Amino acid sequence: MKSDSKNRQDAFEAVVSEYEGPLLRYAARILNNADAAQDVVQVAFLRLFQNWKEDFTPCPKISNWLYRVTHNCAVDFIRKESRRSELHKAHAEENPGTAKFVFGGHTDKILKALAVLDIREKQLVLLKVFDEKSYKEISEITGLTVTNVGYILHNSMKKMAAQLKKENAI
Amino acid sequence: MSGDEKSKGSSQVRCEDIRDLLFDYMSHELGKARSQLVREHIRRCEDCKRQAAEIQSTLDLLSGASKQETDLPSRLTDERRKKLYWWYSHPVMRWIEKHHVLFSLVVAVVILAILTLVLYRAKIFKDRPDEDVFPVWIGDKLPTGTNTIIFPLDDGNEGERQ
Repeated sequence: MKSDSKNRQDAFEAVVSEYEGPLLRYAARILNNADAAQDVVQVAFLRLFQNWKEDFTPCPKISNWLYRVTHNCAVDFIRKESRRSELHKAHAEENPGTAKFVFGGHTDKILKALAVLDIREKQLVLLKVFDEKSYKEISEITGLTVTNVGYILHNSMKKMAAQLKKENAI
Repeated sequence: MSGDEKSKGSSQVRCEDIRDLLFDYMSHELGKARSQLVREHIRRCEDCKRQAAEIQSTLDLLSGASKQETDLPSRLTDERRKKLYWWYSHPVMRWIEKHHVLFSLVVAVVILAILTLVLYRAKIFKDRPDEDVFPVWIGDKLPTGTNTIIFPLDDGNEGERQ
C-alpha cells in the first residue's frame, strides 16, 4: 500500500516536472500573461488526472494531449476575458509591450508580428519555432493534417515577415 | 528575365511551387530530393532567393528571441502544485476517477431524492379535495366582475359552503 502511494507520487512528480515548464511558457506566450498561464496549466493537469486512463508516465502521447488541452483552455480564457472586458483586450492589443516577459531585445516587434496572426496561426508558429515541434507532432496536437500544418505555417511566416519588414526588423 | 522564366528554363519548376515549400525547406521538413530541388532553384532564381531570405530572417529573429526570453514561468507555484497533488492523490478523488460513471449515477440519484423530498415537504404533491370550491361573498355590496355565488343571509345559512 505504501509502495503504491510512493509510486503514485513518483508518477505525479515525473509527469508534472517534465511538462510544467514547456506548458507554462507556451500558455504565457499565447496569453501574453504569465499569471493566467499558471491557471490554464493547472486546469490542463487536472483534466489529465481526471481523464487519462492509460499508463501514467511521460510520453509523447501525454505531451501532445497536454499541449492540446492547454491550448483549448487558453482559448477559453481569452474568450472569457474578451467577453468580460472588451476595453481591456483592446488596451492589451494596442500595448503589446506590457507583457510580463520579453523576447530578448525585439519584444515589441515580435509581439506586433505575432499579433497579425489569428489564434490558430499563432499556435502553429509557437509550437514550431518556440517549442521546436515537428510537423508530425503539431499535427497530432492540433488534429490538422501535416500538409495543412505546412501550409498554415508558410502563410503565417509570410505575414510575419511582411510585418517585420514594415517595422524594419529584418 | 523574371524569376518564373528563369526557373522554367533551368529546372522546369514554377517559382510559385518553390515558394510554397520555402518554410518547409528551412524547417528541415522536406525530403532529400525536394530539398535539393528547392536549393537548386533558389540558387538560380533571384526572386525566390529574396523571399527565402526574408523568411529565413524572420525565422532567425524568432528563434533567437525564443532563446533570450526572460521572466517566463518554469514551474507551477507551490500552492498550485500542492492543490494538484491533493487532487491526484486523495483517495476519494481516486475512487471518483476510477468509478466516474457510477459516481455520476449516484450523484444524479441523490439530487433527485433531495429534490423529491423538498417538493414533498413543500406540499406540492399533497392531494387536493375532489369537490369544487366556490368563492363566497358576505356583505352589502357585491364585487363586480366575479363569478361569486350568493347565499341569502336570512335563510339560516351562514353563507359558507363546505
